[in-house]
Amino acid sequence: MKYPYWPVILMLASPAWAQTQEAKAEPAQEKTEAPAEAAEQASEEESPQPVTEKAVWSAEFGYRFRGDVHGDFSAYRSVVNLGEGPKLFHFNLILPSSGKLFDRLELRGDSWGGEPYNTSSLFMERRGLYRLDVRYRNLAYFNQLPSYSLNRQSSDLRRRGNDAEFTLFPGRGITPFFAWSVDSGTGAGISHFVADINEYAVAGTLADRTDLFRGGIRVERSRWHLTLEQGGTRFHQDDSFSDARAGSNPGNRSTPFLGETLRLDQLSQTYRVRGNTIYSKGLITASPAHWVDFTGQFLYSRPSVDSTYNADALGRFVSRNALVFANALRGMTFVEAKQPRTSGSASVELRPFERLRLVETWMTDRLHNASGIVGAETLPVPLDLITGDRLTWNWSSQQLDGFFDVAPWLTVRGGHRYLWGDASTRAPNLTGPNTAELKRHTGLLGVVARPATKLRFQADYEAAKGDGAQAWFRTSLNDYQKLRSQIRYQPLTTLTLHANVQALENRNPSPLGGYDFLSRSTSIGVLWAPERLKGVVASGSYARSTLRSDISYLEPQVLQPQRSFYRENAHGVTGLMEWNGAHLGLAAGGSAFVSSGSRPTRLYQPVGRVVAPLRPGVSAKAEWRWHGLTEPFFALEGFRTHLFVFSLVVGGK
Amino acid sequence: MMLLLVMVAAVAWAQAPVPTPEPAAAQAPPTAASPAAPEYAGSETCQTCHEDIYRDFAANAHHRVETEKKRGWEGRACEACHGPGAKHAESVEPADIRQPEKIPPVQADKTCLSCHRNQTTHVGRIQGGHARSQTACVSCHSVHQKQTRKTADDRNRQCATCHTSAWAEFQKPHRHPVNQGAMSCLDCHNPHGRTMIAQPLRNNFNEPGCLRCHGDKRGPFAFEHAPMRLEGCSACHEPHGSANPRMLTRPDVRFLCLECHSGLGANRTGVGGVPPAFHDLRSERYRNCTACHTKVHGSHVNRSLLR
Repeated sequence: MKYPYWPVILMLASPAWAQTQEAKAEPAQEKTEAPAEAAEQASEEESPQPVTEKAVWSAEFGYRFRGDVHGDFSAYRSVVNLGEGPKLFHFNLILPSSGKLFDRLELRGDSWGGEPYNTSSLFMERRGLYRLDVRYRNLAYFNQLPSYSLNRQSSDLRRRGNDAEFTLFPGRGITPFFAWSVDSGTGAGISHFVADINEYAVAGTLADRTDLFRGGIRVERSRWHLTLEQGGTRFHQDDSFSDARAGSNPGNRSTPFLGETLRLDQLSQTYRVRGNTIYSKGLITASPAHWVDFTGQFLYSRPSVDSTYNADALGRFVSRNALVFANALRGMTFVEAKQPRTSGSASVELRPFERLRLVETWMTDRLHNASGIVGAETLPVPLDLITGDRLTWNWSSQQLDGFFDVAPWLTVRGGHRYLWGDASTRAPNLTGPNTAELKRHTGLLGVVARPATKLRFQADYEAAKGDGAQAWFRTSLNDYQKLRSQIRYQPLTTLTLHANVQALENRNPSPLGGYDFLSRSTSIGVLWAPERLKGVVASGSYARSTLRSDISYLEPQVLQPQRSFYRENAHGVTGLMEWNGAHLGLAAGGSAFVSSGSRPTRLYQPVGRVVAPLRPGVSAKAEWRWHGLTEPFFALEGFRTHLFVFSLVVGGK
Repeated sequence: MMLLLVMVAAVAWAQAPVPTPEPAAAQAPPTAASPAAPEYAGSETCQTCHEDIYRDFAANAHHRVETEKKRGWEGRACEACHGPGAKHAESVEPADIRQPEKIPPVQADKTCLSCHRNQTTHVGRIQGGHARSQTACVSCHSVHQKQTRKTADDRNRQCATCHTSAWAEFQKPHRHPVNQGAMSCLDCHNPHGRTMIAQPLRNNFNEPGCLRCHGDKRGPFAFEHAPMRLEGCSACHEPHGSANPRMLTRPDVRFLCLECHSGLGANRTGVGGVPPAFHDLRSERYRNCTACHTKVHGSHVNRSLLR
């Protein structure tokens, strides 16, 4: 360590500093009785200095041990994915002003060392001159679950995101800004090569990247604000799948099909996608008078994509319709797609009287997707492909809300929302476009009550009647009711209670059997820091939810109506009890999720922690976690394991 | 190009000082022409009793109200929000000072909005859920405390104190990594306001916020899967968390697909249900629709979303 005597110096200095504080505190109490004199004396005292006058840093590093994973390791990786090894769990550095370069610099990072989620950020600011904000994150996405692998799709990806924004003259009236964001994914996966009824699982590599460049200017005046932004994205995706194991693909059939043994011997399949977008955006807020506020947004974007697809397969394949067999499949397709899109919204809030507020909101979103495709395929029947596709979508909403303050502690709200739109899509195997309309009136009610300063209640209810209503899909909101309510009560300064109730009922009737959906959720939360038990903090929440969905469908092979039922009755508990003493810190808690119904699931994640301060600025930490997943209907997907972490937490100024 | 010119011109003009925000009418500094106006005590008077608060406040962004002349409250930053404090300083009675946490949120927010109303973050505030439910600015923001940049975990815990149901959904096995602090609620939600009913946060305003990270699902695709555009990702996924793999709303993919592609032509909706499925579901290979229809989010190549 560069400055090993810091802790000693700090320890020696702290009593002297403590005496100084006490000496200050006494006259402060006296001054409350004589404010005029206090003001005079206070002006002579040294003003408190910002905390950032000193550099502040902290870090936590250690080692995680993972016990044996009992059960399915792929399921463990899909749900938890924490590994064993040395880790840098956290670091943080705040530097004070360096003079001319920055007023403040903050560097932070979490979960480094092969962790599934690691993040870091850098923030620099010179007040009135510039601000730089950079954020990075790296997320692991692993998914290979037995219940889902019947279709054998799985992936092992890393998604990296990087956002950097540079703002000039922050805090001034006009602030130009420039930003660059990158989102990329790379990794391996298993997908399917599909041609006619020939379908084989194949391994491949996946890579995509999106760069977003944007810049603009913000103008902030006392009565209005305007943001103009111009930006664009550049996108590329290169996925490739291959199989060179002649005759060994797991999708090969051992039984003959019309006397032929179908198989995949070799495959090379590639997707090459290149895209770009330009967009123009405008945002405005204005307060021309004390009784009116206005906000508006407009965006026009024009994304386009060019893609090339190549497939070259050898084996024995069949065309279902032509009943022709072939030893090779080849395909090449060139595609171009464009999607101009215009969106806008405007809202105005009027306050004609002190107790009344009226809010009118209008939104619209319009897109037109058009594509052209040129290609040739052998499936194995030669086929020249020259076609196109299109999707148009226009959607608008108008909403009026009125808020009335019945009393200083009670506000009621009523309103109406009207949604309307149309969509057109050219469906497969049909010659004409498939069109649909959206039309829905919704009534809105709400109440906010604060009968006491420590008690707050709010509720929102909305309902739409299905007569004459039209929706995009059978499962869309149609004839529905939605309720959300929340209550917060603070009986003691050290105790806060929350409760939430939510419900949604949706119906879409049909002569052949419709759609019924009902979900309910009730949850309570508590935060307690008792005064008499110094250092003790307890927090927890419990949630009970039920979900019921019934929908009819036609059994395809017999065209008989069937019902699809989905049920979920779930309990979720989280809790943590902490005690931070002078020489020891303890914590115990965790979370549990238990559900029954269509997919019964039990997920337990208890945690226990001990923190022991070793010396000022240094403490040792030991943590135990247990992860256990049980799914009775999918017994192969269960897992359970212990995780132990031993770490040192260091920090200083 | 026009926009570029405007930006360049604006940069040159940028050195202009910030216009002084118009203080809330009730808190306007007294003038000589208004002898009956309440008296101000000055921040140093406040400091004598509220030492801890004042110390933390010195490291808060609002401290610049105390020091910058142009904002009109130099030396009286406390009273910029709490109103004239001379009477309170004399009586030491809480009732003699304005306490934003104890007055109706709409009134408390007026104080904050007198400076912050016309800012980019407040576009969409009027139609936002927090404004509708009168959740005060001070419910989430601390005006006094010393400022450090919050981590995703800090933000998530703050949101969870009220949104306990959403927090419970993140305890399910298949969820976004919010519990781990790798994602913040603000990655998907804009607490200040919204732009669309269907999606809480929109990427570049008119795309689902999900596409910020899932860029490979952005398209445009030569062959779109209509629900992706018309209903958004939540038509098939539960974004907070689900007991079903891939955060799907159903454990079995076929039911998820058949709910729309059912062939029930008599339903009153236009887009869903076309084309109906004709596969024999008694065969195991047809029970997982995505075994063949691999590109369910949209395909660049194939109309049936096969590749």
